[in-house]
Amino acid sequence: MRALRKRITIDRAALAVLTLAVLAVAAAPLVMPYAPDAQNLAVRLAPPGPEHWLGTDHLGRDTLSRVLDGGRFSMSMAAAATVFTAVLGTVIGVASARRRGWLDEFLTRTNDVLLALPEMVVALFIVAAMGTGFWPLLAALTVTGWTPFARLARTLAYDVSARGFVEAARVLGCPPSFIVFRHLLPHLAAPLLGQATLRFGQLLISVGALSYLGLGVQPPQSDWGSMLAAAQPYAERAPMGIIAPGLAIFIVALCVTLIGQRAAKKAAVTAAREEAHA
Amino acid sequence: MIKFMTRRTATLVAAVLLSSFAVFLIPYVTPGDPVRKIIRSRVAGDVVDDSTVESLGVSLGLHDPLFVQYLRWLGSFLSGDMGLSYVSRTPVAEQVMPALAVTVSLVAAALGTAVLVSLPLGTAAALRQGRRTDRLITAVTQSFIAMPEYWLAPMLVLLFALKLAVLPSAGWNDAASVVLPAATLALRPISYFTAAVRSGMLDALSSDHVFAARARGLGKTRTVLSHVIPNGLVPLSTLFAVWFAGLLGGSVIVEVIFAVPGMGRLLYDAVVNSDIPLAQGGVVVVVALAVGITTLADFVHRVLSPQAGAGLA
Amino acid sequence: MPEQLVIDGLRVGNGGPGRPVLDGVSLSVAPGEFVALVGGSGSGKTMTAMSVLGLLPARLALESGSIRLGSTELTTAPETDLDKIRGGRIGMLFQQPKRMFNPNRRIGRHLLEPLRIHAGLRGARAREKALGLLAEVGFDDPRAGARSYPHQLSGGMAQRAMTALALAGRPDFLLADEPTSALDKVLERQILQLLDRERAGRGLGILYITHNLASVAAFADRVLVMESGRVVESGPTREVLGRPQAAYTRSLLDASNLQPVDVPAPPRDESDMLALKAVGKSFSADRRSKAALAGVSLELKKGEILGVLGQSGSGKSTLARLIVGLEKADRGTISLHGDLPKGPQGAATAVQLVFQEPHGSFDPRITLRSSLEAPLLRSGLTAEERGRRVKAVLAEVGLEAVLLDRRPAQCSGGQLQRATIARALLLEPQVLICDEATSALDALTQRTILDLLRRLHRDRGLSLLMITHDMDVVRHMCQRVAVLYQGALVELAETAAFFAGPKHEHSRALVEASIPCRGLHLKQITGVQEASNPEEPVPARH
Repeated sequence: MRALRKRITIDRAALAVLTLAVLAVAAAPLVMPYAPDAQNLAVRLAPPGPEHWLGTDHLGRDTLSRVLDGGRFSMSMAAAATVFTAVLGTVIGVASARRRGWLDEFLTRTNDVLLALPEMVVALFIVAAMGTGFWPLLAALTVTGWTPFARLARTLAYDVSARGFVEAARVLGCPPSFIVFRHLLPHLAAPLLGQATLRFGQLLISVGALSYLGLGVQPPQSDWGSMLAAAQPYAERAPMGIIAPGLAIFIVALCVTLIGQRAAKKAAVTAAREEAHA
Repeated sequence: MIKFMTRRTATLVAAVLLSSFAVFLIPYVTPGDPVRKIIRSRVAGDVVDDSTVESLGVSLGLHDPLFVQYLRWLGSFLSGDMGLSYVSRTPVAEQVMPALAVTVSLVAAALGTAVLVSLPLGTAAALRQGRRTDRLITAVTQSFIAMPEYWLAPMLVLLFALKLAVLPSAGWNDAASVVLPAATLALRPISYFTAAVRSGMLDALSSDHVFAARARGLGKTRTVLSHVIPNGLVPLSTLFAVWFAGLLGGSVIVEVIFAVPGMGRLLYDAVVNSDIPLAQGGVVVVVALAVGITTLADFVHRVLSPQAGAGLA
Repeated sequence: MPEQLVIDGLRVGNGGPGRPVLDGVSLSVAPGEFVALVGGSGSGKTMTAMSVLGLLPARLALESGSIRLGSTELTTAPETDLDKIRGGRIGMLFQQPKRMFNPNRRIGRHLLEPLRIHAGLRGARAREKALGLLAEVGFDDPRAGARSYPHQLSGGMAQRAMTALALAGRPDFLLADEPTSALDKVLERQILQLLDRERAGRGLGILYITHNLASVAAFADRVLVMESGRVVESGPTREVLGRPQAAYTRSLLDASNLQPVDVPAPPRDESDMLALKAVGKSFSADRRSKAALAGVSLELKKGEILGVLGQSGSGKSTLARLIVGLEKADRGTISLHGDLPKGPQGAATAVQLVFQEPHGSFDPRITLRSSLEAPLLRSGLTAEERGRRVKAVLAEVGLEAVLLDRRPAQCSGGQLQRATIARALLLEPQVLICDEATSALDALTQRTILDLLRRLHRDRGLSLLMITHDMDVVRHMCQRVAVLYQGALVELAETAAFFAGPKHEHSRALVEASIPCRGLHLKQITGVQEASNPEEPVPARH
């Protein structure tokens, strides 16, 4: 029993819960008890019960089915934005550190300004200008979203570039592609992956926020943020309507945050050990 | 130091100018006739016929080169004339300034609370590193990062305003109405601040100079008070400024939910109503202030931690 | 009878069954005495000092034994009493002085702390005293010194400031834990002279912890040798170092002697291989950690071994980085002559560099094979041909091919330094620049690497530029020597002439630092022939 308890660490538990959530959402069409948009006005705002495990909303739609279905948009949007910003930020950060000079100065200052710009305000503007939908939303999240990756990639690339083996490779006339792909990127991968995991959690919350404000997903489609907004007027009568989608965001975001923090810590320890050895 | 300050100040001005230029371009890049849009923000009455539009366009210099128009726009902006709101038909400046005051007090209340909560929590966690207290504090505060404001806020309203009826659910009238929005806004900063205090303290505790101070006969308490805590808090000062700057326009969700008449709410309304002059005024003010605060924080950091800039490329 | 610091039968362990960290250590230091505690890393010499101050790491505990300061028993003294003794009666110096200052505080404010606690001085009187202390330890401008932050001081000045801080509470004893290991020879000598002056002047008792026998010979009255937590040998310096009894002492002595060898004959061909004309380089304020270079002109002849001597901050590494193109010169020209290799990289790889840190010059994530083949990737050779060439150079530097599948962490420093040299040889260079290439290695490995370089010089006709702060490397390897000081070339001479009569003031300081001062020269004691004599007589002991 004690051995079992030792093997259940926080990050393993988080990973298990996250896997379960992703599987449930991905397999939503197969496991949903009802169609997410099937209205049944007879059971409006029903409390949780054997028929509807999480109750129903103001149109009598099954909350559990809608949470499972809504997760598809929230999670895929957040995942797409994470991959997009991570790749973009890494390219910009590494280019900054490799080219230096005016390009580095320009990119760094751009980064500074974007950091001062509130993410939500920028997103509001882009959605206002480009309209709603998948691509405008992706653009809205990308404009400010690349900055943390660029910062981290730049700092790491600077540090690694100053280490003896990169200088040695330069003196030895190694091709730049070798320096970037064999030296820089492998040293950047682990910390950037940790960062990406953390950012996924934050982006999931941002996606929900935009949908909550009515600027993200548009009806009839729904996601966790829009469900929350729709259920709010009925919060007193049917609290499960806001508890369920919010809890879904919270749990998924919490799991990835825990995993990401441990991954980032691990990467930092590895890097420090290598540095100390050198 | 002086060189650093000049460079950062120059960057600050450049950043504000650049973003103000982008904001200035909004009427030109959004759909519709820019001349009509600008006239609407300059003239109180409704202008419909083409000849009036033409003559006003000329007298307002809307056919001049773009850069000249920008300088003129910037000039009037700096003198406090930010144009007329499309919706309220009143000067934008008269809406922006009160909204800014509201947001600043809301953010100050939230971050003040966050500091007051995270200082003892972070310090306690660091001093009991690895023990149950530390694990509990770290786990709970870490989980705050994952808490969406638009979820926490309705739940707080549900509990304190609807069920217990001890606090107002929305509005901005008295001290009581600050409590829920500030508490919602404080949650994520608490998470980051506590982590920063904890790791700052741990770094300071394990650093060689603290050991050296002990070896010179500085007692345990005195060492913690005069070397560990001051050094451990340096990272918090920067973090505080970054959050303050970020929340000036970043409290959109909380201000919308709690009907707080602040900057976030103003920007949201401006975007939803396509109120270009209002959006322009709000964004420029928020960005200028935010960039100013982060620059100031950089200076403060340099003073508190003078070795920070040395030896860095 | 003045009070002594006495350690008696000290045992320190982790409380578990394993071997104790300190196993029955006994020693004493009398006022005005300079006692050296010598040993390799992990021998327990630092823990001895920590025990005296009652500041052992949490995982260790004092198991038995006693530490007495006069009649006070320190092992059982309450914490409040110990705080009065730390800094007040027993001061301490550390190996990394900069890290021992609060980075956010000026030096002057540091000094006020012990002055208030131990001397009861406050306000203007404390400030005045602080300036006096800084002047005493050798700050030309004490006010500027007090105003500076720790990171603004050089290593030598930081250790002086740390000395002022340790002396502020007027202690009777000083524990100096490797205070000069991070410094070069000239600075080491200055710091030890400073401590010795305090010893002679006011009877400060010094426990000098070190692994450097040359400085022990020069300064210490008595020496104790520690190995794995025990004192294996002790006695007057001359006896212990002159007639070592313990095998461990003998091996320490062996490692500190570079046997003199014949300097290779100067090249017959007098043509230049590499020529620097008025090369200058300065760095912007945010890269101050790198030293500037002002108008250096220098020629390396074909097949020559030229030594470049300089302290840290003299610009010698900048010189190397400029020559291989890691930095761009602001002024002047660097030109290369001779038969340059053809191919896509051409002249760019004709000059190769061997770095100081062997572990740092290999990517810890990839195998030696990948690291070694990388320079050949652009050469158009087949994978098979690349592999063959790598094996050939590996054999040339005396390494076995099995190493190719290892990662750097699985190799020793000596092996990696050979691999660095092999990697450079792959490109058939004409000039090899060694930037402190042996400084990070232990004395025995150092010698084998120097032998390898001599062999390559002979067999391949390589021109070598040996950048170093180590006089012995210059003495035993180089035909000519150039001295860099504050970014300028201050002397260029044949090696023999240089040691016989250095012209520039700084060169004299460098040569002097390699010969004895107050005490004896290590080589005198151990019987190795040495031309120079002690300049200062041994002062009379009390």
